[in-house]
Amino acid sequence: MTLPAGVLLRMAEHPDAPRFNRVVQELLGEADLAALDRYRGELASRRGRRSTSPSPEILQTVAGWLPRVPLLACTVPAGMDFERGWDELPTTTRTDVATRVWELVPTDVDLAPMIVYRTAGTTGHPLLVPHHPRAVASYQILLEQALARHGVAFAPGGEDVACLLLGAQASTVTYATTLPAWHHAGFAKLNLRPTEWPRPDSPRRYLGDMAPHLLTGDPISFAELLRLDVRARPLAAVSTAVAMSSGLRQRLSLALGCPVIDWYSLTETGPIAYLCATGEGYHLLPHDLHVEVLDGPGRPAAPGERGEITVTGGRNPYLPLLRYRTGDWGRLAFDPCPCGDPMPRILDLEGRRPVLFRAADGTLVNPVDVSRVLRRHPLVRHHFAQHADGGCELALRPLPGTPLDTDALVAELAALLGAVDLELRIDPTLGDRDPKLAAYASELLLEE
Amino acid sequence: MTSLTLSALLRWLREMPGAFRAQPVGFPGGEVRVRAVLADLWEEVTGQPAPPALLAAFEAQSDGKTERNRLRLLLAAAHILWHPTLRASRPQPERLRRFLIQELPAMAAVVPADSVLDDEERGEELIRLALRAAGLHLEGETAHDAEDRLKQVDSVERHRVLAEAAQRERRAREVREAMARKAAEEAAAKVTRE
Repeated sequence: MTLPAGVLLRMAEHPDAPRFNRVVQELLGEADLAALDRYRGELASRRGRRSTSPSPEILQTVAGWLPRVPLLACTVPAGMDFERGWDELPTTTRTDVATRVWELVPTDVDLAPMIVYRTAGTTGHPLLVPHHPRAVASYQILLEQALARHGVAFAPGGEDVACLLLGAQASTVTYATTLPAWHHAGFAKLNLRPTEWPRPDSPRRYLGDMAPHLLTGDPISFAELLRLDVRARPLAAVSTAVAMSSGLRQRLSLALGCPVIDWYSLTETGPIAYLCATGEGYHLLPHDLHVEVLDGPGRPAAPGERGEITVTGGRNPYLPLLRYRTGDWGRLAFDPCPCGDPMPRILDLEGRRPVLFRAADGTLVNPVDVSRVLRRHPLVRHHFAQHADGGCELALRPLPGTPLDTDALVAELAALLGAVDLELRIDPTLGDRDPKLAAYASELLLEE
Repeated sequence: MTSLTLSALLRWLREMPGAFRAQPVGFPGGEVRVRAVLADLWEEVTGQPAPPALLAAFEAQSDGKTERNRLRLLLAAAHILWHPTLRASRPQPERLRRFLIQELPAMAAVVPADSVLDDEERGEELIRLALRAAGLHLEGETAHDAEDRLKQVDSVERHRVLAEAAQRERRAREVREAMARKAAEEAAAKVTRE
């Protein structure tokens, strides 16, 4: 294997390089890279028109899971005809992943290669999600497909910086590494917060000199990038985590001189869809993921009607998702799209509304940072909201039988937000009356 | 012909003669040749001599406790099959073979032979297996009732369910521990946030 010292050194030892706080191990082997190449070929050849019914491959995948996945062995009736009875199959929920994820891990998978991600917690309490390095690397192949659909010729070489992932948070993991699936080109995860950099203008110089082919981030980090007036000229910018408003997308596209692609992906499911080049809806991306929309009780929504986006399949061997209800809503359109992508689109995608907080001094605060504070405390559920005047309210449902140190929690939030008015409320039944109560809400707008 | 009630058959089992309670030859204090007992039984109830390959299965294959238990349970089963009504039923050789060389060893793996005499439910289990092999069921029961009740007292099935539950709990613990350990390690690079 080639040691890509050149690009790593360039990223790590640049005079304006941020203070990276982690070293990420290389976890992909030759077999993984060969599998990723095969996946690239399958993705190119097997994306196509879809119907509301799952493909034979999905049915076969599900049949293979049943004897091996403890939760499904209990919930799916033995001998069921999946093709005819698909709509009767039980759904899986975020609660299943939160409370008994080990029952979803197949009994025969080797646990040694497993990695674990913690969800950001912006749409609920954070989850621990088991994952596989190969499945995570497949995101890159899916990105290639979305980029190609936007007319971007993306082919980074081993000396290039392929991608920079931008964050704008009080604290987050940052590192520089290389990506074997992209010829060991460079990749770094950065935090745009000033405290991470040697000098105030370091982000501008660093991003300019690294000349990344691709920038990824969320609307908050891209808004910060605009504020810093960074002169990067990537081939594309990909925005994830929460929906990006069309206003911000246009500004960003103008500033960077490239397409801005909104990306719909969950840690539990992996990438699901990307924003169509026409800007109308999100095209389903992977060929090996079946997407349907269900009504409240879990029946298929009528054609063209809105429903909860529900997915089956994917590539994560540790999390076989059968009809996983994402908590996001939309409707599926199967009609041909002018952009030429034959895959169906999700229209009116909802549930990823960006939430933004501001500290007392006006600094942007990412909900991820609030989540990081809250997850240190024994909570079943929470609702944190900021009003237009900057005042905040926090409702907490404590974990029964475990003492909750509210003084410490308030002090930690004050360290993050400064002297904002905070109204704290303990509600042992929080969420019972409104199961879809958002974990975060804000009356502040990102474009402000 | 004796009536086939559970109480009568349990009494028949409890009154098993000393020859059937003795230790099998091949073990300390061994007195009874299980192969010979089963050879007589087979010929009596099927009307044909037992094939030598089948008889070989009634010899001790080792000097371990499990093997001794299997042979002792075979003796108890032979005694039940000697009951006049069962003997006269002329069971199908294939059903009888299945009982003696598949079902009994499975039961012997989880049930001590003595318990079929001491524990009424284990006695009932052995009796019901023998009745099924003979193609009979107890007075007042349908074949469905008999099968249903056998499931309720089936030690092998209960053992399988318990073993599966234990295995499932072991695996769940293994996954939980691995996740806790790996959550603290560095994850692989991911090019987008989610």
